[in-house]
Amino acid sequence: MAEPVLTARGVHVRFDTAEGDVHAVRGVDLDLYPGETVAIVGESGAGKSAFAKAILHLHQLPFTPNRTHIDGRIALHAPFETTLSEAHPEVIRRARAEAVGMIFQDALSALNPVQRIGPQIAEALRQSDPSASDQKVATSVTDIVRAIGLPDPDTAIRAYPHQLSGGQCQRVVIAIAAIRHPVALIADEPTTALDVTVQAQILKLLKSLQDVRGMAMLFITHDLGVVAEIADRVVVMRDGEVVETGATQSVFSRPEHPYTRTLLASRPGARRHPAIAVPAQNTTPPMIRAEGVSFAYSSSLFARRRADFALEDVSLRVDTGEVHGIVGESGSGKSTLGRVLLGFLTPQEGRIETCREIPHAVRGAAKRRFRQNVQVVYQDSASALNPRMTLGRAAAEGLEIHGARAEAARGEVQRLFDLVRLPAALMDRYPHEVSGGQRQRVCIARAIATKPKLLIADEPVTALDVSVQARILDLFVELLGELGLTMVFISHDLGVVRALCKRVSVMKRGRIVEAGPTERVLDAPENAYTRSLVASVPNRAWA
Amino acid sequence: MAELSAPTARRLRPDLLTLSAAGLLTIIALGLLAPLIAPHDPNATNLLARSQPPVWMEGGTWPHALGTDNIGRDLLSRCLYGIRTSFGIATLGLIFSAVLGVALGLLSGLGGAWVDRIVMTVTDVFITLPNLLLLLCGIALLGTDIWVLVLMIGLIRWEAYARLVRGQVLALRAEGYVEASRALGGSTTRIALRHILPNLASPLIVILTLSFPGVLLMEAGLSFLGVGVQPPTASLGRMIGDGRDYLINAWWISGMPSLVIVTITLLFQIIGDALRDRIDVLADG
Repeated sequence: MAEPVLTARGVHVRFDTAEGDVHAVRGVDLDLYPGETVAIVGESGAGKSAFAKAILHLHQLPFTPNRTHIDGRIALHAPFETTLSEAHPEVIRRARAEAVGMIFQDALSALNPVQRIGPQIAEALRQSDPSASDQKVATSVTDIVRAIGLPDPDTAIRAYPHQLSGGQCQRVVIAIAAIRHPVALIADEPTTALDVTVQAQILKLLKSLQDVRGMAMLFITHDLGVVAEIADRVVVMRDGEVVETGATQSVFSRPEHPYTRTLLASRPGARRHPAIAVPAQNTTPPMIRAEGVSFAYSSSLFARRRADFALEDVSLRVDTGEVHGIVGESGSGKSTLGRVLLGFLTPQEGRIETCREIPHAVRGAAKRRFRQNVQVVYQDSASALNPRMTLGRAAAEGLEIHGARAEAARGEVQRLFDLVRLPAALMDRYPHEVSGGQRQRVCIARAIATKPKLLIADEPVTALDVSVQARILDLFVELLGELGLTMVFISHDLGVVRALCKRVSVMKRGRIVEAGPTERVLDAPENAYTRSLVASVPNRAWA
Repeated sequence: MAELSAPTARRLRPDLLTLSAAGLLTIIALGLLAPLIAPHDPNATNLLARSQPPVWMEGGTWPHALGTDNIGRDLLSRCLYGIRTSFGIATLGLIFSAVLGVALGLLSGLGGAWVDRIVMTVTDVFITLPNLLLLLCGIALLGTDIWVLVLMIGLIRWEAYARLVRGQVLALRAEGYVEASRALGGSTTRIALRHILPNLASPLIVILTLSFPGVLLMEAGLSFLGVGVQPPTASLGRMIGDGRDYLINAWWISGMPSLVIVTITLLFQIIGDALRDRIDVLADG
């Protein structure tokens, strides 16, 4: 490799916030060579994005007071020789326009919502080549839309961003970023919000663009599987500092820094939880029995079309004591199924029995018992806790509803906090004062307070950093053993499901397309969709 | 309001807010303590000292620091009692309308589709009725009692709060903790009182603070027209009305109570704005 296209030396980023100075990036060095992909990995708050944004001075919004201080030297090399860290704003603007492209996680907000896709691409083309004729621009737009693999290019050109899916929007954003042949592309979690099969397609698109153009790519992600898939070199960041850097292969196989080792060990794929004992089949009645369940959100019987069904002819059997995984991509009906099992939604067709009751029809004393027996943990722990209730009171809610007196409830909550490994001192804190992992522990404590028989966990670890994720999964395993719970574990993450679940059902568009023992389904899938799902997981060895 | 975190506290313009709050509290205290601190009986006439100007003008005297009205009543004493009357009516009216509005808003947001439709239709009807006409009708039917004023102000104001509350309830209903409470078997009443109402408190406090001046002015307007508080009871609006014939020769008769109203209104507006900046719920919609 010859000259780097981008070098950073001793970069520090500080934010003035109302709470005081935040030192987000503490002395990062980086060289980016043409044609290579460097991944910056780290958990939230590691300073990955702050560093990436600092390269193009994107922290500074126009017409607002500058609250960000960037120190250190950031330089762009041939052909756009500048020291960005000292450059005039106009030079930085040109660097953004001509030398370095940038794509973000939320593609939909990166596009103008009131302009059609075609004109948005055309605008970028005109700016890179003002002399191009309308005819030429129009042809180029069609070529680009075809090249990025949007189905039906003619329709796509005339579509508004909201009419495209998240993955399609991200393709358009990538196309626009690549139009001016940037020497480097900075991609900040570009696939984090996307489903795994879409993610695979986006990574392929980026890779092929890179091969054709020979541009360098700085890829920011928290997903080690993605890193293993695309990065030549990896930079591991923690608390604003680089803790380890090197070729991806060697860092992953021989991590030197303890933090890198923890990070790698936290991957769900790296963990095999001790098998949770499943009682001999069919000796007890099943915890969940669903047959031919269909559900549509539209309320009108006549206006309902086939496509409106969120659940279609779903049959499911979960035995007592089993941990059952439900996997699928967004919109596949996983969460809807969870809410039907809880009785929050009434299916239009089919028979369903949860914990020996019909969840949507149970009333009176049986309903009270049902609510004690069937509990739920959600993905977003911030929304799942009332911001005006202390954590202790939140955890005690179920106990209070089911008649516990205040002092008794407090003692019980203390025991629950101990059980979910939370210090009792947190009982008097409010949700915003603690971390996401701690909040999720409170939610789990609340859910197990009523000694339920069935726990429905809807993506409970998705919003958490990988090391926190690992600890919460450990907690689930412990609790399952201790309390003899049956659990339905809804997730899009095959690694997590593999680590935790004995059996798994794969959902697609409201249907269960395949079900069976986890090992069999994920290692030797019979259904074509399951196969593509499994194949899309980036670098399976590392996910 | 106990968990006022450091960054939000800094966003408040503390100097202006603290000053305004202190000023408002002083005015409230003056009104409450009127019987103790007023130098004269507010209704005692002194025909020898009619239309006396305030002390800083020629002919003013210290015993009547803010001057006297056309029948020689002490304006300072009447202003103090007037604050007491006007503030009291406005506060009670506001509380009445807030309770009514919050209750109906909660009912509308949590009571199901049909209840929602009925309550919202009633609020729509109330919005279309001209306030003043409604007030005058009510007073014509029920007479000019202070409690009638409170009642009428409450009936006119509730729909704004009902709408705010309903909107917030619809948003809060989708929160995870509301569904989690349902999953635990929590009743609708429990959800309303434990989960929704505490989270409504902040926007409600803002909107109540911001609408207080309007209520105060409404009482003042009615009393000015002579259909509100009846003489000789001192109310700020009544006093302005009393002085309107003497504006040219003795402006202070209307001027002093007007000044009090302007000050109170301004203070409430500043406090309300500061609270809104802090909570910025209303800023979104």
